[in-house]
Amino acid sequence: MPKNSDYEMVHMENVVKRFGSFTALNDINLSIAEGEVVVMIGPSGSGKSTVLRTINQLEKHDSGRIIVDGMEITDDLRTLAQIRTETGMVFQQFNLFPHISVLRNITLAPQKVRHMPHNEAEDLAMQLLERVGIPEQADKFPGQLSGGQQQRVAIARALAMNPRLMLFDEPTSALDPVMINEVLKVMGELAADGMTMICVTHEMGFARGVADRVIMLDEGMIAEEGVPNEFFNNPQSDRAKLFLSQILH
Amino acid sequence: MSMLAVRRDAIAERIDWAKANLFDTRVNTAITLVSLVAAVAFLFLTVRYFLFQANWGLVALNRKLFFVGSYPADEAFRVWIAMFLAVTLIAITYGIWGGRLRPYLIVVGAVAALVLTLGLGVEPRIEERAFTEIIESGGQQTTISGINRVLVMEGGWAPSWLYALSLGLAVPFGSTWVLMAGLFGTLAGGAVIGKQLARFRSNPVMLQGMGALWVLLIPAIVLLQLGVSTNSWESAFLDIIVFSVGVFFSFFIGLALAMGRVSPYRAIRISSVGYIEVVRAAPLLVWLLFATFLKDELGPVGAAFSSIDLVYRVMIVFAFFGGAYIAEVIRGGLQSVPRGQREAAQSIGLSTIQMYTLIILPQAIRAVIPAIIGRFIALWKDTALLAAISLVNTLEKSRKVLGGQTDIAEGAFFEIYLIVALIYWVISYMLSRLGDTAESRLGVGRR
Repeated sequence: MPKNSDYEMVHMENVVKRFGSFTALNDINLSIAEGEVVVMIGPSGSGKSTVLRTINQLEKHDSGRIIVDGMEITDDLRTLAQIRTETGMVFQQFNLFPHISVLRNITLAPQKVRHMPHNEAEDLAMQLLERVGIPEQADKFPGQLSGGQQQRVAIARALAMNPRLMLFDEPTSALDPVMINEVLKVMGELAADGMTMICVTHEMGFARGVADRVIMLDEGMIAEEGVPNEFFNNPQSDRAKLFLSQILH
Repeated sequence: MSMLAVRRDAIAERIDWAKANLFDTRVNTAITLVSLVAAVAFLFLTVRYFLFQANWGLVALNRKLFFVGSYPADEAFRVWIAMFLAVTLIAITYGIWGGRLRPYLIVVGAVAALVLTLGLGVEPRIEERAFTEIIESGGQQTTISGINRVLVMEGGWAPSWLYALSLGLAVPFGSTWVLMAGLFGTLAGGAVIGKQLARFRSNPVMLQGMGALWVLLIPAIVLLQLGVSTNSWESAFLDIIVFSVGVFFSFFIGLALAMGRVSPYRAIRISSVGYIEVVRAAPLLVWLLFATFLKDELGPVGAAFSSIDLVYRVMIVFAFFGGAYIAEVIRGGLQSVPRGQREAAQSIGLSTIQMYTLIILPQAIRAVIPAIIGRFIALWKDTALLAAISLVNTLEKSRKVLGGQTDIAEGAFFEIYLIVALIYWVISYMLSRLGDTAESRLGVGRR
């Protein structure tokens, strides 16, 4: 399995993000290697989602440096566009485009951003739908699909741009247990294929089974990080101990 | 169970329902009976008025005036071509995206049959008849002789009110009759062709092609009229052309203003808001009066504007006035699109322009189609205001008809205004149906 090469996919240095008087990220330093699967956990408001959203600049950070796949985020729009096409994001609420078909949801970006020919884009979309296990849903509209199916389409949509990095922002939080498993299965397969992934999730089973590293955030700072087994079995900080005792009854 | 038995059951069911809901208590029975009597009386009076009391002669005689006013007969081909273009496009569009074909064809056929056959052989004309009247006052008798003009309608096979109602085509198999038949034929044929094309309904080429034809229609119709002085643009023709041009541009102006309101640039935001607030703060009539009487008060801009033909100035006012309202409607639509849509569009690498044209605006506009159509209908009826700035719209024409010919149809005010109302209603109703269809067609997948 091609994992943990020396190449640094994401580099965050002294990153600060404030929303008004609330400090969401307080001096975050983070390095993620190519092929690495990182799970981020922490109480709500701890800044997990904000880390993801600054990496593809859905939120502009206030200070510090962020480098994605060798490109530093600046005000330059072309670099930003480049970073966004190389970064796939999956949202808690799926955020599929409800007015176009499932197939078109997936072909849109390759066609419009990469100028891929129509037929080629549709072939790619069908391959991706096969990969996430729902090729028969191609011609339906997102509203006609179950939550788990919608989230798998969202993953396929992100993969259509052939990203180097995938960001998952609580991908299973809006799903019921049966659907959670079908989405986690797809994510597990993606990890096994060597994709670099940063996942904000509360699925501790996934974190133990798939992640290379677990990072716990609290109040906008990294409270503790480590390989899953050590982190779950022998947490060092009081905050991690408290948090784990709360979620792992 | 036989068909008859099924039918009997259905009737029994209705009787049961009536017993349970309309005649269950004494009070209810009384209310039901009173309502019934009132409804029957209203129906009776209405029918009696339309068939036996109303004087439709004036309407029939002046039918041309209601539609095209004093448009020169030699140039009438321009209006006919415009009508054929519009009707072709409407019919094909209905075929592709509209509802079922059969009820549509039945309605078109029925109207065609009425209009085309009832007018046959009718020649409404004015005859002058001599009269002698003896007036008694204060014991003295005065004899007045004179000429009275009366409306005569002869020929044909149906009662005269039907000829008049058909707004008939007085000359049987004349050029007008043939052209009207052609229009109805196009309405039917276009829809049938459209139905054949319906399977390409969501093909992008088809969508873009039909969109382009519709966008070209209004400039084409205006260009067709350029050979005729706008002084001769009158009546329904004037209303429709001012409305079409106004509504067409108001949509794009509204779209631009709505985008301006959400622009990242403060200056654009502020000027958009300022424009919308100023334009909406005064009635359309005031803006029309400004446009009419503006000379060089605003320097070269005002002078240039005032040098434009009045009818075009009015179109500009309609476009910019309507645009301010459309902008607010579209802004509401923009706000209804969840923030996640924007984030998803950004995260897959779409540019800002792509994000708006492909993701946000289609959803935003779809959400506000009923409100946009509402604004369009209001703008259509606002054409009645043209009468106030000395343009001869349908309303003004009807007043002239009444004013000039009281001797032949004294007191036919109600009949004339009914026809004016009918003309406003037809276009309003078409717009409303268009809105319904657009909503259900575009609503696919939202359920």
